[in-house]
Amino acid sequence: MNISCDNVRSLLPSYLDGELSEEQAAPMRAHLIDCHACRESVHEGTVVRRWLVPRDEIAIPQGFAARVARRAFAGDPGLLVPAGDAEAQSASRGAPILPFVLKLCAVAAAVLFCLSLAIQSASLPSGDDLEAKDGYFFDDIEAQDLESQSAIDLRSKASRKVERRQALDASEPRTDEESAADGDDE
Amino acid sequence: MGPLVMQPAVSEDTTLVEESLAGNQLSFQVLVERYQERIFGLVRHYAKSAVEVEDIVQDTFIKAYLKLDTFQHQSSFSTWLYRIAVNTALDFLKRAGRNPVRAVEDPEVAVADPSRSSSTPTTPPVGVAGGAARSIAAPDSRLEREEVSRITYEALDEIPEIFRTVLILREFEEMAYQDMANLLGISIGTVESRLFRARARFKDAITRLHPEYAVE
Repeated sequence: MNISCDNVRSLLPSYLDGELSEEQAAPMRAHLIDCHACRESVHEGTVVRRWLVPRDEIAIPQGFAARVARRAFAGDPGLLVPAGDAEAQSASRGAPILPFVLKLCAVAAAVLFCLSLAIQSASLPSGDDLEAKDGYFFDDIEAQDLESQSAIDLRSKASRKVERRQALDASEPRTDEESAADGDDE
Repeated sequence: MGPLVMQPAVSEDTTLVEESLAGNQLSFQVLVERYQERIFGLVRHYAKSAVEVEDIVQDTFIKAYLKLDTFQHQSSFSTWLYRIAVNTALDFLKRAGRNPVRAVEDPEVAVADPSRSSSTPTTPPVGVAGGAARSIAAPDSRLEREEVSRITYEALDEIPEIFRTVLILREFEEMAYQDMANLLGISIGTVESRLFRARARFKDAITRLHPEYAVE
């Protein structure tokens, strides 16, 4: 099967990388035998590769794996990992017992609350012979009642005083000055 | 370093992951021992010193541990771990202010995605797209390997990170297109187009940095 120069050049990178199937590569090879221009393209591709020379390999430090594993399990976030991410992930990984502890605390708090309610209700006095003590549980309505009662007492006391004065007036005559003074008092 | 085998002892990895999640530190240590060589090998392409490499690899594994409960077993553990390693390395470069990718253009634009038209692949021919019109000469045979490698990373530092990553995964880690697609979460067609543009950018960077190797 013959293929065109355009097709050859479009497939050239894959050809050089060994990514073509034999079905694709065979016609390429046949074409390259006859086509000088395409052979030049292949040559250029191989020249570029000769400029790609890797650095020497680096010796792995002794005990590297053990050190890294130890640091990872100790929650070390590393030098490049953003602190927030590392802490969050480390917390979720390093503390699997945390949810259990939180649930335990919640249950304990609920039990304590119920217990305190039970103790409070048990300590309150109960029965038919309960009596309120003087000065105890004094609310606004009771205060108003007491104030009303005091006002009534004062008015009755004043009226009794007036009655006594009238009785005295009836029994002995008075001067004008004494009458004026009584009027001021009232 | 040999090619990445994407499904090594899947069940064992799964077991170790579950044991690690259950709090078994030794199981996690076994996982680290199993993959540390590959991750060191990958990360060295992003960092400039052994100390930086060690820091990034360490953070990769710590991140993996912190996210272990999100591992869905949909991909292999190695693919999942590689993804974390690449992201950690790129984060490191950004923090260090060494991310040269200030590409304002969408890297996918102007490159037809072969996955969208499998019958008529439209990837531009080598040497035409990506702004690399000039050809490049092979490294001088008198150059030491170390010197070529220095130029390699000098040029890699000049290209956007998504291009650098596909080049690293393909050329240094020898990953298959499908594995790269799984790792990066993109289609095979996108892998192809990114690789194409990455090589063009890489070649352009070398001819710009070292015009003596440009061939008119």
